[in-house]
Amino acid sequence: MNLDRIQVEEELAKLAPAPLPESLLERFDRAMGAAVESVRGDDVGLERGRDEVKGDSGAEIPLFAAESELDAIEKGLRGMVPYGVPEDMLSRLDDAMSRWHEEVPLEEKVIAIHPEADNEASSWLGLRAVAAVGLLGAAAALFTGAGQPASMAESSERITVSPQDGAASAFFSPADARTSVISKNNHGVIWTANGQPIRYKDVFVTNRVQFANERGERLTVDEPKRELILTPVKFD
Amino acid sequence: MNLATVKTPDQSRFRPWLEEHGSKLLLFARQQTRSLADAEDVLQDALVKLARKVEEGTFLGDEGAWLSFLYTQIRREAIDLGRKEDRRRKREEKVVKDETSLGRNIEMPMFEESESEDEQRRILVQGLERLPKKFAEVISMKLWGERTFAEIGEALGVSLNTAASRYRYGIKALRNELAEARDRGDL
Repeated sequence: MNLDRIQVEEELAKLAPAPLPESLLERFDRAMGAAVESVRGDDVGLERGRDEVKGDSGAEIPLFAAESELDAIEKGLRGMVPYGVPEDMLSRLDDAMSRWHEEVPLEEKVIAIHPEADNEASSWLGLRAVAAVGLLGAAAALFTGAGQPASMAESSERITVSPQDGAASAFFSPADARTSVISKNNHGVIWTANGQPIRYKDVFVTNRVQFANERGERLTVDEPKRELILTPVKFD
Repeated sequence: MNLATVKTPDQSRFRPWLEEHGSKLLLFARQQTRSLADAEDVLQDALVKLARKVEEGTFLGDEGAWLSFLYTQIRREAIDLGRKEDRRRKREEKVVKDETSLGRNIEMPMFEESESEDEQRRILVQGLERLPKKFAEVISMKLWGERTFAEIGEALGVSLNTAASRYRYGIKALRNELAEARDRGDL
């Protein structure tokens, strides 16, 4: 029988290609997925390890031809050994580790440019405590004869106050001396005429001396003062 | 590693561990810094911090966690050092002498010499030294530090996927170096 061309075409059109086997489908799917990952840089499967990419037989399936080359590069890199630490460096590092307790943490070494107010106040009060003893004699001089300060040995022990109403004199002895910081200002760094940087601070203080007599009466003398602190600054 | 190895009286108890892992840590430190001296400094600072934590009992984890801690700490120290040096250079208006010699020292190679000094190995070493730091550090931690991508991500402050991507990009970049070498006829 002679079939004309159209009939042949119609018969052919009825045919359908056989479906791909499952293994082949899987292989093509993985290859396409790897190509997508390669473009995106998204290695979701990388952490799983290539061992998990297995086929039905359990053998590892390369994602694409170039993967074996990457494996070879990885293998080559693994074969390289980082250069050993020289013995003297090793000894220095080991010594540093054994003396860890001598290391001061960085936060303890850093000194703020503008220290906290409380820290400054306490340090200034500390300095003032040393000078407080001298205030006892200096304040006593305020109560001696006009313009004629008594000797330190005499006036530091007893102060005579003569009341104006003719009552008996009371003898006051120094009881306490302290300094209070009223305010302080850190004016930062200034430059002198010859180019020397100086840190400039001023502190307002009140020197207070208390005297007491045998009856428990107290006499307080306040002396306000302003001190200018100029400290040379080191810089690189 | 035999922790019962006898050590000389002037060696710390960390010495055996240091001998085993020091080289990979120094490699990483050199990748993070501009000179061998800086690499030693940041490595030492990181080791001292580890020693302090271990001896004070504040280190979380056992000896197996030391490497991860040190990789993270080395990187932090290197960043701090880099910032200090940048500020100093700005003040002194000096130019960085050699940006390409990151952590290299002509007297001390990055890797041990091998019996087969083939051309491919030489190109890999050169390629690794030229690789951008963000790829080289991941390869270093993965291959010689034997860290997982999760640990690498944590140390570098990136996601696991980013760490894996950088690793893959780095390996591919090295592959490209080899391909170019073949095209030139060097391989």
